Amino acid sequence: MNLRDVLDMGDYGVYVWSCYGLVLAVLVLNVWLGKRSLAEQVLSARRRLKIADSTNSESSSPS
Amino acid sequence: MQSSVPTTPGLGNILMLVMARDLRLAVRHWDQVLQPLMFFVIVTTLFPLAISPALDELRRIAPGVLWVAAMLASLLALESLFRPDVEDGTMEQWVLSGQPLSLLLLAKTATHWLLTGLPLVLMAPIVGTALGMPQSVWPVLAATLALGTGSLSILGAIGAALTVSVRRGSVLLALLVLPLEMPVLIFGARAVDLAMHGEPVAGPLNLLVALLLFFVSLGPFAMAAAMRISVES
Amino acid sequence: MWLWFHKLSSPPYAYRTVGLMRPWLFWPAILLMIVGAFGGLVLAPEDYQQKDAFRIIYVHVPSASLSLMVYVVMAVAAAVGVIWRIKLAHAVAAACAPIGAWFTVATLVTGSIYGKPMWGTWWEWDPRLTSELILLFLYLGYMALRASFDDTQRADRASAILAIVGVVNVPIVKYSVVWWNSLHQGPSISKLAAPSIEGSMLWPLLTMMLAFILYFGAVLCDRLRGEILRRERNASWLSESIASS
Repeated sequence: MNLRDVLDMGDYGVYVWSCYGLVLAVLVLNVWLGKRSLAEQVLSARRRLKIADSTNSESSSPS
Repeated sequence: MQSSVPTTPGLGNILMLVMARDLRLAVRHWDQVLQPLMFFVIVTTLFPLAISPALDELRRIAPGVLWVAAMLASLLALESLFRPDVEDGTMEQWVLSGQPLSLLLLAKTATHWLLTGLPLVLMAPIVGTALGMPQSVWPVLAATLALGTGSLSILGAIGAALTVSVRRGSVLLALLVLPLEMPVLIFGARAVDLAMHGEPVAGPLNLLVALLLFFVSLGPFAMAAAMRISVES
Repeated sequence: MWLWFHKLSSPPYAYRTVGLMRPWLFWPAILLMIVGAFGGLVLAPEDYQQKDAFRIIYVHVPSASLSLMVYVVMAVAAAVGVIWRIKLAHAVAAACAPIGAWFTVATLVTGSIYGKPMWGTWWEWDPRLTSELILLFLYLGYMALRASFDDTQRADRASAILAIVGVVNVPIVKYSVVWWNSLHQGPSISKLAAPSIEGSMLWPLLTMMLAFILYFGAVLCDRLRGEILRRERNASWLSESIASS
């Protein structure tokens, strides 16, 4: 099979390649969404800890 | 000396009380009972207007139209199933009462079916005739709708218990419940269609019976679990 | 083994372990996908009836299988969470939902595109596509129900009931849809059934299936870690773990 055959897929090229492209897009999207949701949570957790830390140090410092 | 310990009513009595109470409330607000029925009739009227007044065209889609209208009417009717009792605190008492919540809710659902599902079963032949359905199909129509609306009531009650504490949860209720009801629709509508073509309906009819038995035996547990979550604050 | 399981339900341990697992799932998945896709697109011989179009099954079938598998995993995790009250199980269920929904979308779209050269239409109400569509509704309903509760615990438990009711209904739905369809076609062959599969056509399919499963595991790791963080709002173990991640 040469490259031409692979691309043409016997006149079905459009269908086969759009399917593979679409599935690849969904797979990439899901990886990206997964990592993004994790990153968002890490960020918000860091923020919360920072606030907690600063209020702790305020309350524990001698007045 | 006589003991003055008050005896608690047995479970059977309690279930009767539940059903009697709901029936009495329904009689007082009979307009609320009528509304889903009116919706059913109005929705079926939409189809001749939208498609064609020709009876032989309507006849072909009549089973589907009746069934879809019945599904939608039963969805609307679910609003009155649990919401009033949850809102006035009765349901909380039931949850705390120590009585088997699944049976209490099943009794409520059964009464609700008598008030909303059974009228549909009785109305359907009339509306079906208006859509060109032959009289010979009436028994199958009534049987499938009776069995089907029973299953729809149980599935609907599970959804209603899940969404009763959600604000404006009626659309969510529809989205949750309609996919689960699709098998009932398939068997029920197609059974009527088969009957119209003179073909045997034992297959789908038996499946409807099986589904109803299945949902009646397991559904109440899901209802009770869902209700406990919705009612706890 | 049981002890490890018990340790796993502790959030900080789970967070770290799942993070370590992820690359071991992700990279093999990528590798297997490349191998499988190459096998399916290039090495496998063309089908007698469907010619080269059949190669779509190498992405369509794994998507379909995963869409169903993820739903079952989601429902089982939800059931475990409700029966044994394990918070991590609820987190797994929540993490599964969007991934499974996307697999369902991929199945529907590839199924539709596959259908165009085969049937001539962009959509057919055949049993497989119709039940995939209903499955998509079930996923979306699950996510919508979750979103309608502010309290995570209530959302977990309510959606668990819905997931269990849903998974019990899936075989019923599939059976009813197949029956409904058979009334029209008579002795029906599912139009998207894989063509008579022989060895050289089969191995890329199995490879892609395994690749998709590992991929799901990897993405689940990320989403699960996000869920764990979201649920452990103020726990003290957070500071160490986050600083290092």
